[in-house]
Amino acid sequence: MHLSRYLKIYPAPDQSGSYLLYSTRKGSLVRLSEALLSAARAGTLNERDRAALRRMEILVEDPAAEREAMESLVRRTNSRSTRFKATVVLNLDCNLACPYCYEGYYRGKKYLSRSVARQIVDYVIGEQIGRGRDVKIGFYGGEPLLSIPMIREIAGPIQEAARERGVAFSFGLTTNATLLTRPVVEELRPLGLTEAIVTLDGTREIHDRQRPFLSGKGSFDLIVANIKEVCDLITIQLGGNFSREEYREFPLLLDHLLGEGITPDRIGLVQFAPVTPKSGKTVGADAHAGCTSGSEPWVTEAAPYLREETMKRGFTTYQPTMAACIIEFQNDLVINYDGSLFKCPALIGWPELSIGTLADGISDYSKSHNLDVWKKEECLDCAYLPICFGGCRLLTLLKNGAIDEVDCRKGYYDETLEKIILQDLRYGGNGKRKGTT
Amino acid sequence: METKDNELVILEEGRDDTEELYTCCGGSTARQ
Repeated sequence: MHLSRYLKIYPAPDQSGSYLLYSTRKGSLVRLSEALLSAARAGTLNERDRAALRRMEILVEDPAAEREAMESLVRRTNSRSTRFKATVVLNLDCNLACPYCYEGYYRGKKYLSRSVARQIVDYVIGEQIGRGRDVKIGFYGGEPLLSIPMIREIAGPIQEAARERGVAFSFGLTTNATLLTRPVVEELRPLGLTEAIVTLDGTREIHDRQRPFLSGKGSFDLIVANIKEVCDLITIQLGGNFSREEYREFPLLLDHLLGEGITPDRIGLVQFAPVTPKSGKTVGADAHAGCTSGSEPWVTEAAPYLREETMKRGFTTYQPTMAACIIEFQNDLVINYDGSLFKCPALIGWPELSIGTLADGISDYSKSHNLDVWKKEECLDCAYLPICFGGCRLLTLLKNGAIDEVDCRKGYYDETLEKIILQDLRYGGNGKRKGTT
Repeated sequence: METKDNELVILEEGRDDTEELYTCCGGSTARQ
């Protein structure tokens, strides 16, 4: 038996001579005395302790087999997948004028047409439902609720076909929530709407500056009112984009929500993320363009701080879990408003990274997207591989102008993972895996 | 509470399935 390579060892807080062992692969956590840790390293544990650590995947029988299992996990996940997820960009228009909008270089009055909607329906029914796959659609924009008739045109027939075939279908919205009224949700829910990902950028003052209407008027109060109105009908996932200057004020948003009766039991996950640069151009080392690296000292301070403040107030937030970049999954597809296909919604700013069209099909993108870029010694032997898998390809693209290397998160996790684990111990692990099942 | 010498304390069992992989995109994550 050997200690797993996907393992982090930290001193146990307030207990000198004891250690916490955390498996990034299994998500298990144990506390050991120094004597037992030495015995685990030397292979001299008693049978009971050895069996317990084996079950927690902190000890492994064959380190080479463990490494191989990680190297092949994405491929095996793809080969056994029985679901299809499409992100459908209904338009690139918006009723807000956020100065930092990552679609800023290419937004405009561009809308998905009825003929593209028909192509989507035919493709999903023929190629996905026809093969017995469960289907989930994420309607995206721009602002997807500027295209409600198209949501009806796409979701209606797909829902019917899914029902006939006996597969699951649901859809979500990534929306600014200004149009997410109760009547809209009541209309869309019977078609399969289950969740909405919405954004509040901190306090009213910050949010209204960052996310104003085209008129310049603030959107904060309307969004909070809409969340309150619909959170008993669908799951609201709350995000927010923070900057170096203002992240410390974000907990005041959570206090405001609590004051409004938007309590932790009424919404889904809360997760804040740093503002990223606009898509479509390389930013290189331009520090003012937005955050392209989780290793920046202010981010490694801000992320655990906001997680702590979120958990302290009882809201559910993310937990480290095994997750890889969306471009690695063959059954995930982004369908742009014009029928062009991509592997990530943020990549539509780079037309050369289109992988095909609905009309012509999907071309080989393994080289352009540098799939498996993380399958190198440095990553396969890294303790953080299970929770990283090479990080976010968009960030590499923004920095380098090509997906030519991993977005290494070692610096970020070196600074934050121990804090995250201790938070989970303090707050009873009320963090949950991100997103939906 | 002190960890006694030669004591192993399980604090978190972890995931039932280490084949369960999620996809991470745009701040949201979904199970594959």
